[in-house]
Amino acid sequence: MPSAEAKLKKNRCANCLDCPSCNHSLTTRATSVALTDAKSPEKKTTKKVYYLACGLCRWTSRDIGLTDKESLVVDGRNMKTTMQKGPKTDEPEVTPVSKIPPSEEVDPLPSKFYTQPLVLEKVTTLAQRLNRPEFASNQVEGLYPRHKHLVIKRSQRCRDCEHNLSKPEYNPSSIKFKIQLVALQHIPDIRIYLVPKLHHERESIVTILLSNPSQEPMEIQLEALNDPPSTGMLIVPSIELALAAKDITAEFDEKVADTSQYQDNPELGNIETIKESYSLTVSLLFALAVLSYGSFTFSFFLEGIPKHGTVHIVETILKLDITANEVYPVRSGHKLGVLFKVTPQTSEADVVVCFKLKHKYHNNSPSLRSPPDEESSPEAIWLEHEVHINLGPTSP
Amino acid sequence: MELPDRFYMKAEFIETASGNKVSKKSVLCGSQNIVLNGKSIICNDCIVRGDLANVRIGRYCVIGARSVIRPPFKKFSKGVAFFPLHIGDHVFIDEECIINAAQIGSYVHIGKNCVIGRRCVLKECCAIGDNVYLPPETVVPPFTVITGNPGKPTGELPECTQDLMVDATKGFYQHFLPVQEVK
Amino acid sequence: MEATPGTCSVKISPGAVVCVEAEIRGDVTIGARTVVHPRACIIAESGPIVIGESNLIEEQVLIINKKPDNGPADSKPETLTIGSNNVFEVGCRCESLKIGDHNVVEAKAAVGRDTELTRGCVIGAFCEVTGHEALADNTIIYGDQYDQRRQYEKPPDQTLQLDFLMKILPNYHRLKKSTKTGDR
Repeated sequence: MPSAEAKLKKNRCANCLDCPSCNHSLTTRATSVALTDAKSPEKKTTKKVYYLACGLCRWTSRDIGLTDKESLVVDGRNMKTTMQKGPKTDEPEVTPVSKIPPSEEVDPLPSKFYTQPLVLEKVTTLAQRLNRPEFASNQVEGLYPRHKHLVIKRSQRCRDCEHNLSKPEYNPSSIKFKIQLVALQHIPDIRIYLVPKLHHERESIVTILLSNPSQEPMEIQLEALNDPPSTGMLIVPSIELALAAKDITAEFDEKVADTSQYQDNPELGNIETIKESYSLTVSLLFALAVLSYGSFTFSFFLEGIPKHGTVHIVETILKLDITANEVYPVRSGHKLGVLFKVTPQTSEADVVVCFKLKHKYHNNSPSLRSPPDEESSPEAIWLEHEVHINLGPTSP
Repeated sequence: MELPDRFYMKAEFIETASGNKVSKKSVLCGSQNIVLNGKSIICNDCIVRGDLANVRIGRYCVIGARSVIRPPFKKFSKGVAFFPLHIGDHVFIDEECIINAAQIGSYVHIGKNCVIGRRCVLKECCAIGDNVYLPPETVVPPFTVITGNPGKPTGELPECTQDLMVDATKGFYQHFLPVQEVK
Repeated sequence: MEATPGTCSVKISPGAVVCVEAEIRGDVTIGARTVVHPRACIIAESGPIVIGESNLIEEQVLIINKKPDNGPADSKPETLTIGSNNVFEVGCRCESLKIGDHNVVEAKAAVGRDTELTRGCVIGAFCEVTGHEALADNTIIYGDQYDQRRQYEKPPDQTLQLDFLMKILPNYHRLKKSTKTGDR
């Protein structure tokens, strides 16, 4: 419903009711009762009646003495008109409360508090009373269901240019958006891929996975921060990295994306060309893990290693050990692994490393461009982000 | 964080032609009434009650260990029946859950040790925390986070939940790898 | 339906539906029209278990007559008695020695050995009741704060569901054969 209508209905749903006892929404239950016709007592008809029940605390509208209704919409208005009473005007009249000077004379507690036994189950809890402050019934018989609060869907705008960033569809159960410009589709994704055991003041190699969400190649630069608030010293690779475009069709065909155009180094190119299948043998995986941890010179993506070439691959890797650049990773599709040298500066807290991520961004989303720029080609700009990564605690 | 590889014994799982991986230790009652639409994983000691009513599970779903998927019972004016249970795509159900829902939309995450009451409807893109009890016939709107016992909405999910759930469930499937039994 | 302590036999009355995949150990008597789902556990460890009529015991339920932790070792075995028309939902645990009629133990709830459920009690999901007490008729416990309230009427019968289950379970599961009561 539109917001104006919601305001008129005091932001509450006209049909749904909440349980007065536990605040869970009530459901309508049907039963049939046998009715005897007044004129002909031998003729019996069954009639359907409805009542409200709560699935959590099993409260029913029969508990407060409401008779079952015949219509399907068992609604609070039919049940008790007082429930609907509320301030009619926008500004309710406020009766000023006169100041009462403090005094020691207090009315004595009514004697019923001493004489009548207290039945705890019949007394409402504070939360139940505060739910309906206008009645604040202290007996459970006085608890009436209340109309459900509405929840909202909202759109968001940019803080600077007031352009719509996200606008959901009107249908409440729809998860689609008329406009959706989330950073996830434009900014490279950074993930921790491999973290070895971190030791205080000892250099370790951490593999970070960068992936390009956009459908064109992306250039990325990593920079150290001048004054990082981190607990780990970080040496970032200073070269410019190129990420392949995300191929949205890649997930449908099993073929390996051709990444040989990015000649990270010649040896690596060889590996790319012998890729035949994504499946890998586990023995190879363990061998790789041992190798990568043992020599600290490289890390290797385990995706896309051919099934048939175990020995060959290990040989190639051993060659790589000598030739490969120390910061250079292996790529897989639009994903790229990067090696970071991390030296933890703390032995107690979690190791946090910070760096600056710069990437070239082509603004080619038509909805983001203002009309006068329509003709001009999308301009590439460098965007900068400060990235903080918590690598977890150091091992003793 | 990229998910680490998880390994399972190849002998313990059955892989179907459409890429479903079903643990041999799980109990699928009335398996002719259970439809897995492909690339879904059913872990150890799960119980899926296809004997009560049809159960349809979409693509890239994960049903964690020791969870129970059980179509809910409903009394009608004429007779009684168990509701068919539909689970959408990219749904992640963690360990030790009891699912009595009537419908679970796509891109839903359900935490550990949850009880989803009878005939609940979980719309798309919602999340249930750990140890949540969702009372019977609750409807969870999209982009809502439910926590506590009884479950109450306590937060919102980001607009890109759909992409995140697709990524998470696909990642889980890709990292769920077989190991040959070591003799 | 009196069970003699010491015997180690499962007695299933005619009309009960007990799936083979259910784990039943020790001296257990199951009354007529009771449905036991696959993967339910009924274990008579320290004494017999007697389950009445028209009960519904779902999967992963554990009903156990357990040895008391700090009781005397040679204490007389006590019988765990469950009345009729009770519902034990998925994954609940019940050690209570005395359960009346028309009670509901919801999913993942637990009832301790010294707690007695009288009639029409509902133990909500995740609620653990282990105190040494007898819950009054129609008591309802729910939520993480173990809120309590009293109901005016007992929870509705599950007769229709039991009928339905008795009809469909034999189509999919092998059942344990019923034994005539009284036969030893």
